[in-house]
Amino acid sequence: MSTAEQEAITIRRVTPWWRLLPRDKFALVAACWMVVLFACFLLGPELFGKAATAINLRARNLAPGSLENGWLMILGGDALGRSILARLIVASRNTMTIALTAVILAMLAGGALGMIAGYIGRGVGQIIMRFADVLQSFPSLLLAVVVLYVLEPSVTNLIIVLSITRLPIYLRVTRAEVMEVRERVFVDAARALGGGRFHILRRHITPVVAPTLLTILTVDFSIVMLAESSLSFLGIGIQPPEITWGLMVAQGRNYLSQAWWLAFFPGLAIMLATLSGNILSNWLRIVSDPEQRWRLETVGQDKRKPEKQGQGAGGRTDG
Amino acid sequence: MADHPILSVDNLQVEFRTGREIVHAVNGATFSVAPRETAAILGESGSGKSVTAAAIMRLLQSPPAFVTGGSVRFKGQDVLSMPMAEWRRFCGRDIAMVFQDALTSLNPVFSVGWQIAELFRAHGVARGKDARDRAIELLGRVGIPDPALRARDYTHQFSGGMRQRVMIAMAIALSPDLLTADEPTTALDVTVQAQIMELLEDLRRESDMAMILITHDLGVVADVADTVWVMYAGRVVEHGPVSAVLSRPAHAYTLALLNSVPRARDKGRKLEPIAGSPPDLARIPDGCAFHPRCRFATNLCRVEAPPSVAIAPGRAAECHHAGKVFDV
Amino acid sequence: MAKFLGTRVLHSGIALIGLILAVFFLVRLTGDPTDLYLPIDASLETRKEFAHKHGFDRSAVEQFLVFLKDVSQGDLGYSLRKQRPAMELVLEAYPTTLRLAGVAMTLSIALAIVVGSIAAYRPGGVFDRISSMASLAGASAPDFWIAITGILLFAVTFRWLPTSGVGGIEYWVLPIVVLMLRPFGLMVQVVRASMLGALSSAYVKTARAKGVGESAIIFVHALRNAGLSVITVAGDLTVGLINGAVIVETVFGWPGVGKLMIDSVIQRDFPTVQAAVMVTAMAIFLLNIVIDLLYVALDPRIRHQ
Repeated sequence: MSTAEQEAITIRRVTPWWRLLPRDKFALVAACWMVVLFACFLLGPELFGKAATAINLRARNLAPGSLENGWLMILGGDALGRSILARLIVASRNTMTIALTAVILAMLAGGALGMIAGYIGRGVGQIIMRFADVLQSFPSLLLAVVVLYVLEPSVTNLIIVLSITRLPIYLRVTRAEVMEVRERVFVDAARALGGGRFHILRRHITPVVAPTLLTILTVDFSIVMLAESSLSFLGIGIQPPEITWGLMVAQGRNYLSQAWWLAFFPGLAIMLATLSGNILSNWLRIVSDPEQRWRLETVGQDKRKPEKQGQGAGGRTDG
Repeated sequence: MADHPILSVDNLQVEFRTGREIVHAVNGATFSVAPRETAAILGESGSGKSVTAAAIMRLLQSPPAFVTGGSVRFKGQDVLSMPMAEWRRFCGRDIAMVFQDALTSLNPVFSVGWQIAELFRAHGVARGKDARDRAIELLGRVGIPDPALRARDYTHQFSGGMRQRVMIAMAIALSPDLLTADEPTTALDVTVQAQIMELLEDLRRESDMAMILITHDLGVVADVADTVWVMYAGRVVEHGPVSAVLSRPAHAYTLALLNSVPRARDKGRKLEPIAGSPPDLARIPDGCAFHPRCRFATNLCRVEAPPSVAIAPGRAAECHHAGKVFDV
Repeated sequence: MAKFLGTRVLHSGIALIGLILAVFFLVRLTGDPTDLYLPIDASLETRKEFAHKHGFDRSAVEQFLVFLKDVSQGDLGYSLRKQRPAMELVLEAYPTTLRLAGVAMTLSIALAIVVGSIAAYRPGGVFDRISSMASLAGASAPDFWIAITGILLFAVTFRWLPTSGVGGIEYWVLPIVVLMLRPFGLMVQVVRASMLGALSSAYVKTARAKGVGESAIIFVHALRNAGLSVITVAGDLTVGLINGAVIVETVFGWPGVGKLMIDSVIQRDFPTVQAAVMVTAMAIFLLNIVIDLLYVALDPRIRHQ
């Protein structure tokens, strides 16, 4: 935006985010979908655990779209006649647990390292930054493959590996923000008033850095979910009898020509979840950016000219 | 002025639609510029003077900016209704602009010689080595030493004053009839400011250009301008020949502005800053927009917008108390 | 400029060495490397002989020096599956991956620049909204799923394209499209964002005031500036493209380095995995230097530092 326009634009009142959400239809749908997924994550295995493992040989590779065998069979049956819908709901827990835990771990560890690198001396900072370089200069999937080769492909190891591959982004962002915030006056003031380093980090820097990190977290949720699915698909992630959506695609792949729905629906579930994550993160980025926020706040952007004001010698008559 | 105006702006209105508010940046600005004269548009930041200039050049980004009324005529042609492609052919050739911040207004990844030569290429005047040679000649004309060498340099290799000279070289490349300078010296050191103003004034005289000088600096207005248009809250509230307006203002705002800066004439006088703050352009006060800050304000000012009062030939002020102010 | 390039090469070099170190220690931290290098059913004698031959009976420092010497000579041991030098296998597989990645990346960048620029020209317009949605979907799509859905649709159902394998141009279509999805999706967003910034910048306003035509404003003034951030992201995306290559090569049966690595991991052929990691790290090191050189060529501000 140019100076002439900035001169004219000053946003006084800020619309709260829950008012802005309904205005963006895509973001609203994405948020609702996330709520549904979260409900599946919380309650799925308890409610549908039985249905997901119940073998029904008469429903083997049952085609989707029919309610004859009960509504759980609406998405069809798998090679052992188990309900695909129930399995999707149950698998959501593993899929979401891995993705959520990995990103949260990555954010906490990356954030902490970034604060250290940005706030405490150059030497330590340089070492941490080079460490980030190493991680970032190598394809994350290959890194995970190598580590999972050496370690066991358990849920815990998967989480650790995935969080390590995502760590550099949080580290860099936090460090950059800390370096900037550090130079600002209010931190100097806090230091002059005798606040300790820890106090300054906690009270002054964390509140500034946190919103940015949360925005990245929503993108990363999608990225990590894709990475976990890829690993499970390749057979080096989650091992049966545990299930995730990625593993379900891998298992369904063998029946591709006879029963496409075995691989199709789990893949669709991944796609919808990652798409929602990306849409929400885009929306969050706009909401948290003061220079962009007006785009959401602007209501009727119609081309129709507004009423002209009384002008000229008679003067303005508007109130 | 006997001459037909080269540019006339009539009742121009510009608003910015942002968030839930509409910011009325320009509210019926009216002014005109005669050939070969220097017209100053004087106002505080937020008075709408830069937006007016951008609207004349059709450089406003829309959305959020919308020109909602009024007309701009340049050399007898209606600017705002012209197809954009046609108007672009006027830009740079007949009407040119010098921006405030040369550092961001010049492209950082092209050499300055290339950027000046681009004018000749864009308007089909010259190309290749011919265009480059002309660019070097222009750099010399605006007082840049070693122009042949410097033409290959990039913006970041120039000092602030030199950068502004490059901008000016670009603006005068095709000898336009009208040059709009938007706060051309605000970003510069005081000593450099005078040099740049002098350069602009010399070039204007040499090539018979008219110039619109947008500024908040009374001193600059007094030094170089022929006429002055004082803007407040997106309207021209007073205009006339510079010497007449500055020596005996007829609008309370112009008077307040004059009293807020030191003048050599009445040394020892106490400076009076203008009370209050510039108006919120989303909520412009009823009546005269200046009334909340005006020491002459009466009930009439709060209710009714002031009419334009003719003070002398070529001089008018939109003030209910023009007479009283004039006699102070 | 020299300082900028020097720092960048130094940092990339440190990253490369760090990765080599990591591979060395990862192997040794997790127990007896002979378990990793030899098949599970190897006899005790073979194990002893192997341990001696590779110096696993010597001290860690000595082992590291030997390891470094071997690495510098490109000697990363024998593949357990193929009984050939691991390096040979990797170098054989690399051209396939490079061709695949090269075509996919070039197409993604070219398409993304056109689509992203047009979208940024009228933000909020119909084209912008459609391309935003499409790029978001591309960036969110699980590539392995798109790959098998593509096979199901175009190879199994319609029989327009081959299911997998290497051959004429028809064999390239599905792998390239699948591999392009993510880099294209992300790149469109980056191009759009940086073009949006460039198009609302003061220098674009100046260019308009000069009477420069709109196409020159978009593709000369704005794109040259936006290009800087595009290059940065293109580098990261190329590194990420290897991830996609692993999937695409596995699903479509291309004999590239990604498939080689996954096969080696599943069949526990560690020397080959290690060689593939080394060569990939080396390739990325070179890529980073190329990107830095491009940066210098495009940005005069860095050139004159």
